[in-house]
Amino acid sequence: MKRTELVMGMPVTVELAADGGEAEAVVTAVFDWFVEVDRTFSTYKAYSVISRMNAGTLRRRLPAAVRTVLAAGVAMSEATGGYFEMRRPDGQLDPSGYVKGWAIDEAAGILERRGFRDYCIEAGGDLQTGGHNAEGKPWRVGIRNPLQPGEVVKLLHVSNAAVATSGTYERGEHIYDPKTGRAATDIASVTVVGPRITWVDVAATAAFAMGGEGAEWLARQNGLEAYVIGHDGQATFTPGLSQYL
Amino acid sequence: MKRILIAIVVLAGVGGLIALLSFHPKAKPVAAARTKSQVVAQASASPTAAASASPASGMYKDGSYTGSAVGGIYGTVQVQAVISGGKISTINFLRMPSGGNSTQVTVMAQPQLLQEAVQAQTAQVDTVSGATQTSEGFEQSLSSALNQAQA
Repeated sequence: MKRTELVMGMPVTVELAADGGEAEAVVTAVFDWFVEVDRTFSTYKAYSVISRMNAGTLRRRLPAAVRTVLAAGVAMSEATGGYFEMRRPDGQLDPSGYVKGWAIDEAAGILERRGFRDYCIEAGGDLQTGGHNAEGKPWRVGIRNPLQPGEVVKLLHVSNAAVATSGTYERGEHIYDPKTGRAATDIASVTVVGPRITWVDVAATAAFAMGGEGAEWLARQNGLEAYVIGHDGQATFTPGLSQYL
Repeated sequence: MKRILIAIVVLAGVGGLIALLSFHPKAKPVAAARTKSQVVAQASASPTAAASASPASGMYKDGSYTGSAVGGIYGTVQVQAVISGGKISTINFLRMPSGGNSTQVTVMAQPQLLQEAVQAQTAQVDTVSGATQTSEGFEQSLSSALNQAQA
């Protein structure tokens, strides 16, 4: 079964290789989780914990989930040499770059704890897969062409792996190099494949902010493979990507 | 067919000396170069060399591989390549002409990258990975634009 809903300001799709009432119920639980994450972390909703922190009006102890995410933000900043930050150039806290991947990863946990091991959870173009698709084969993930958004330019076969892409399309230049405060524009998109979406998503964001250095940085990260598309239509990729082709 | 090409560019005192090393894991020839101040190592390999199936492994098998001793203009050089996580992590100079100050090169900027032109695919997919599609910012922007339009 497969269900798509608009949550966290983006289309989120949960697909299970299984069907039936139990599958429907667990997918509903996953969407409930995403709604809860959005209520807590959205920078668009004035009542969210993050919005109230930014406004200086939060009058209660931080929820455990927020503390977890903020602590992870510090660790991710260190792991990327400062190329991944949870603060915008204007100083406002914006953990959304981490929250999406983390929310997907937790959602995968919800499915696995209930015995569903064959799934694909995709939120706004980033995804975590478990096991196989309904045909019993690895999940087939297309990489969207950043220069021609209706087009797929690479086909990956992933099982128990995550895929995330950072780029300039869809929303324009939305990733900033935290070190310069300028939009990162050297490359059109960075797609990263690895075991868990949390780190994969952060790595894609950081590599994109690095611009031309991003591909080399990714090549040095253990367990991560990358497909980087330049504005000239040339792709640069790690040799290990072949395991997913 | 695991073939590693290691190009070691050496900045020597009098002019630069460039040696191209052909290096095979099962002990094959290794050429060499003399170091004086700086050693920059680069590695590349043919695309077909990437055949491994385990997620963590890279282009090469982990281990230490020693090349044969090779005579150069300045003397005999023998190197050892250490492969870690499927990638070249270190090159040790087992023998090198006197006068060099570096006996170990940690291969930092050592990514091995391939290139291709992007090509449209027609195969069926389960899902697509692309940069974030967000509707909320769009909706907010639109609503603020509409508010202005009302004024």
